[in-house]
Amino acid sequence: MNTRPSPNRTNAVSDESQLQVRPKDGDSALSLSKERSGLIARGRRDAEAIARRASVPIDALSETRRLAEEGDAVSQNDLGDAYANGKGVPQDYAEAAKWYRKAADQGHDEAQNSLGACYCELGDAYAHGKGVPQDYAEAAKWYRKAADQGHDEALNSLGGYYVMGVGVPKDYAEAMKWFRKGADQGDADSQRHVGDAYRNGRGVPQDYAEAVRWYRKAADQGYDYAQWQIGEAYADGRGVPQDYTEAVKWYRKAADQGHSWAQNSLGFHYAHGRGVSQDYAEAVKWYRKAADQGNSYAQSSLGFHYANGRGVSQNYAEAVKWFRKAADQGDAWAQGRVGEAYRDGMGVPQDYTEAVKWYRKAADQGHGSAQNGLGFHYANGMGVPQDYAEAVKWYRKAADQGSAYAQYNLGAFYANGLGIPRDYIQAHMWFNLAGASGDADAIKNRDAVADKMTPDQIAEAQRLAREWRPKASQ
Amino acid sequence: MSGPIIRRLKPEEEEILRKREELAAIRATLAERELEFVDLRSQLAAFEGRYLRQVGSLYAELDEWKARISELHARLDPSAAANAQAREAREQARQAYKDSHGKASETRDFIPSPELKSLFREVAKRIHPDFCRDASDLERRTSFMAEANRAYEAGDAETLHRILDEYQDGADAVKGEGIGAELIRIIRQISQARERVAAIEQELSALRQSEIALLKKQAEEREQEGRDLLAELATAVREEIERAKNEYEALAK
Repeated sequence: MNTRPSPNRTNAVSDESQLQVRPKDGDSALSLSKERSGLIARGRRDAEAIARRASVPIDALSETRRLAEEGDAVSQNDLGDAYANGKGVPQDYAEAAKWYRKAADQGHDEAQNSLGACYCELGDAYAHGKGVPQDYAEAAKWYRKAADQGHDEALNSLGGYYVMGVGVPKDYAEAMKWFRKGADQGDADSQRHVGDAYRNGRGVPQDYAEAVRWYRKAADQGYDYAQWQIGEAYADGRGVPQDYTEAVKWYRKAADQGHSWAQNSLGFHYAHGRGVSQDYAEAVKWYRKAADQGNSYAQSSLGFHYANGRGVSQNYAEAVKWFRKAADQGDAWAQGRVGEAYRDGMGVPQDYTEAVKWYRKAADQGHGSAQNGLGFHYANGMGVPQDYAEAVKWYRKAADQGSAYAQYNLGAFYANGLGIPRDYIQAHMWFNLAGASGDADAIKNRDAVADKMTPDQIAEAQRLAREWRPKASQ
Repeated sequence: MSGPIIRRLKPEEEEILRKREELAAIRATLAERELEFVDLRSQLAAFEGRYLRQVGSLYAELDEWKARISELHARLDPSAAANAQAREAREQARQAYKDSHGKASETRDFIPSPELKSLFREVAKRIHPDFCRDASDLERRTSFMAEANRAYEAGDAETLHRILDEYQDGADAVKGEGIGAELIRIIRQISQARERVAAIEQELSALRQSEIALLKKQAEEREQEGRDLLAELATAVREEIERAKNEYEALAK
């Protein structure tokens, strides 16, 4: 009913026992695995909602209504239920709220809760334009009423609205107030948001220790995201003393629940021997789990392990397969690797056109080494018609980011006037910068260019080099 | 010599006969259970296939819209939390897509013929993994049984026949075994079979309590009322998709 992605903290563990069913009988397509049963459990919940909505004797309500109108709290609550669920009457949350309200005013506990749920439904209705024109302000109004009744989901939604500034002015402090209320009620979602708020310093002063404290509450309820965050806190030493062993412990909890980021982090710790003995095979195992879930970082890392034969037999085709998956998701580093694979014919047939295509994707995202790759293809007319101006354009982008390789090439283009007018001052500057990282050829070329320059020109070039600062990627 | 010689059985031999009967009976029960299990599992798989195609794919579509909404929120108001939410929504959408379009969604309805059923029963009686004497025998029979299960689920009578033929000779013939040893062996087989029946009954009950089985039960109950649960679900999810689309478009403006 609402757009918040709900973490699978409730059903994450419950289905384990069913996994034991006849595992040795080969791979039946039938899923008793927790992954798909999420999708199935969802159908069951919705099916039950449909069932409640439909099968009710219509006559039963007239007596309930009579009693409700006479002021019987139980009947008022029942009538509220009928309207809320559309049982025997058309579903009508406003009407339901009216009757719940009456019952709640008489101190009917259940009605109090239902009233909250009802207001929350009304909020959802406005939030999603369900039977009413979409109106976030109206949704926020109802969420607030529900939140005042202590309704978990409403507390969360309202907090989220304040974070996003939807239907209410953006106000992190106010968001925090509502999240905090839910968190104090023990709602793991809200606890996680309070943790996030402290981590990001939103609505509260940034306080990593406090963030960890709230994540821990949610984590104790089995919330995988919070477990992962605690792992991150230990890995980075934020809010807790840095402790890789502890980090790995928390990653593992979340990873075992199928949290792909935690799996990725766990893989990383195995790959780098942090908190565990270095174990590439184990790293690959976890990267693969995350990669199979579509985590592009893990896909890239898995590709890297295949390319370098770490924890698996070296296999370029497999490496490219995983780079490609990450690349398709827009991972610039992986796009560069795919480009490289096509350029060198590693794991795929050599194809310069494809190489250029992938370098360009990564280069457009500002990836320095891909910009170099693209510059190289233009400079040499591989997969594209030779075009020095284009080559200069891409080398310049990479050079601006501080790539010595690109700085050298850019210097050469200026020195030779290829694709741009010859300019010794510029050439000197770029050779000088490239030489600073110890490139002997660059130094030699710088001095060769200097021979053709006046002392004033050299001074100007040196000033430019002195004042040069790397630019952020573009 | 005139007339057949009537041989008197020794007490151990009588005992063996009784035990053999008992073993045959428990094997028959076991075969029944195996059949029940493979039947139930195929029906559930078929139902799941139908569910995933008819409803699961719509959930995936819904999650796609929700992910787009979250991503839009994150773009309109970039923050670590919003980004994380968008990422999570995206992950959820990807997962739902994967789950609803995977191999399981391709499973079609399964109606085994009576011949296929009795063929499977024969196979199950003969090659049950637990009736074996050593590790290599166990392994061989386990793989045969797995193959039999697959063949049954695929309605492949030919393979079942072949399995049966291949198993003819190996069966349970015992050579050079004394009566005492045979008795012990049969008694052990009976108790193995009992354990197996108990185990498979547990597996059956786990299967019956699985989410997909419960959903199927709901659908069957609904069918009694002349209604179609999956169609109703699909309609409900389509409505949600419509709403999500509207929300997305409103947000995109």
